[in-house]
Amino acid sequence: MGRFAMFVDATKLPQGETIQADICIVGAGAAGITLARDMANGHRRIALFESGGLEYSDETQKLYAGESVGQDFPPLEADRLRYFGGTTNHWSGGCRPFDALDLEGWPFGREALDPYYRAAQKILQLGPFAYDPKEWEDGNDQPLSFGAQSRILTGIFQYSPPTRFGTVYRRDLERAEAVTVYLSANLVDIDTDEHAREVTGLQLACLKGPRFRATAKYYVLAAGGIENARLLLTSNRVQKAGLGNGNDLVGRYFMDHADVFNAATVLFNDAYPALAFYNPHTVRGQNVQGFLFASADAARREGLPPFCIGIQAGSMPDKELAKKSLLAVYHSIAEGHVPEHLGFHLVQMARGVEWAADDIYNRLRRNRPRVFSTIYSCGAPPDRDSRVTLSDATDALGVRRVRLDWRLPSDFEQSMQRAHEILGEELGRAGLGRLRINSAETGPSPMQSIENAHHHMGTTRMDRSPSQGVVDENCRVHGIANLFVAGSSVFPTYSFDNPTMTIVALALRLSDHLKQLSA
Amino acid sequence: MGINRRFMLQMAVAAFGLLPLLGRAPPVPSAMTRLRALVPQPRSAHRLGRAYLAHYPGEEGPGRLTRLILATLGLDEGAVAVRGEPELRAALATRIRDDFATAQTVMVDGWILSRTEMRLYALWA
Repeated sequence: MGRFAMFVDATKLPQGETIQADICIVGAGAAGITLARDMANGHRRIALFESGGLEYSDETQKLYAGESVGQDFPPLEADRLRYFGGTTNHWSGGCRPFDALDLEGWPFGREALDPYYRAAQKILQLGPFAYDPKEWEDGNDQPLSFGAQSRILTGIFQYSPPTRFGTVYRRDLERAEAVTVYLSANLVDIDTDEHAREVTGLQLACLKGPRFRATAKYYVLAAGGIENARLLLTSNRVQKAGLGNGNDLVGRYFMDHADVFNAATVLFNDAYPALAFYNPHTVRGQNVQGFLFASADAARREGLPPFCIGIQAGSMPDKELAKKSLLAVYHSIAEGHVPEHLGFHLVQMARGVEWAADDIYNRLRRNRPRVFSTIYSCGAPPDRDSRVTLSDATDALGVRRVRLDWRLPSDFEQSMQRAHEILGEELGRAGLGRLRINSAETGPSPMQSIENAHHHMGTTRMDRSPSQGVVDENCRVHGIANLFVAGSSVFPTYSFDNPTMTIVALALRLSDHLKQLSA
Repeated sequence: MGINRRFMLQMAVAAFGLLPLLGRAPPVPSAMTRLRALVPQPRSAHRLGRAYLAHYPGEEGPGRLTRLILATLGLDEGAVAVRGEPELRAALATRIRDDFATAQTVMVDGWILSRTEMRLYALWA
């Protein structure tokens, strides 16, 4: 590698080597790469350790394997990516900053994060820092009009291209003389003083290569929402419960978005509802998508978690059937496009008493969906018993594997139904349509179609008090002077928003803090 | 020329139209009849109405349903008689939207529906 190639293959290091830096960062995903880039122009020597290489490897990926014992979850080695760029190598790009209400329970408010969100906007290659849907109205693409005082509002996500951090920012790190990236370098233990008040070094190992150490003034774990907890729990030679785990909080409060498909069916009065705003679409070169959510007042009054509801089209009528008899098309609607018989009759009545009877045949011939379904997501209250612990099994490096017990609140379905009741009431109030809550009583339960969104959060939560959090408001592990955590594991609560933008914003904030400490 | 069905129908319509000339006013449709006439798809209304009455059997009966609907509209039989169809439709539409605004809704088979609109459909049940 040449002068500006500050990437080192750790498998080529001498056995027992000690790397010295000012700041060691473990994990080269969105948080780790953001930290390294942001500190690259200073006088500090940054060592960034990445478990994987520049490309995917099955062998490295298997280090993520573990067991899941709670709510259905994909295999742990499939839900994340363990190579340079981390899980940004397969994320979808959805971005939105947390609202002020979403940050209640955090040790700082939205105003503290605002400058970092604006900087994150550029890092994520997004458009202008504009999240008011009015700023994205464009011709015929308008939000639904629910009228004044509606409890349901429209929000907007912006989509990053998506930014693959390992690809987009590799060159920056290659050119950064102050930064050295060590590939194939796995953290296997953290050394501390005898009271675990200060980290004295990192023990690292390669799958096929040497074991070596790294020392620095400050250390940052940026390995992801599950792995950060794992690394603290496994480093238990001094604090037996795991590093920073004096109050049994490390690994607890694991959170992920539970996306529920077909939670409800929506029938719009207008045969051609203007829903383009709620599909991904491009406005002035930026890909955006609208969604529905409850106003802060409504959510608070109802005691509901922050939730969002997306609307997607039902299946398109078969064009061939449209050429057949009216009776055949009639039945195709009843059997194929409306979930159940009562809904079919509501289709017939959809325009209600405000309109005279419509020509059903003309409507059908236009081949547009009338029936839509919802996708529900929320930021459920954190559950202490939803957690990451360690199993007795070990990986190829001898590090204990993870046991994940993801739990949803017992009232999750009830909250989801109430959210849809509110939407149904607002749709009717605005004369827009009718909504049906899907449940086990009326058909396949939507609770059977929950998918996690691969947003792992909360396992080293942030709080000013060590009795409530693993890290403080500056993401420093309580009780340990020089150990920090970056990434979504520090979120004490979450919203329905994707976490990546907040991950990047928090990393920038931590970078500023570390720059002050090491000035 | 034979008397056919078409001729008889024409005669009946003509006779009806002559009633005012005979000093006889055409019969005024009842409020129930006028409300039922606002429903565009009677077959579907029947199915929806039956589903509603399965949940609210105490409201069964066209007379009772009509009184309940008129009460929510703030109208009596006489007021319905003098209102034109568009006006009646508008009053119902407003009432239906108000139902949603004030949570005067019913859940039938998972569908969140206005109580007024379901009572209207139940007139065909």
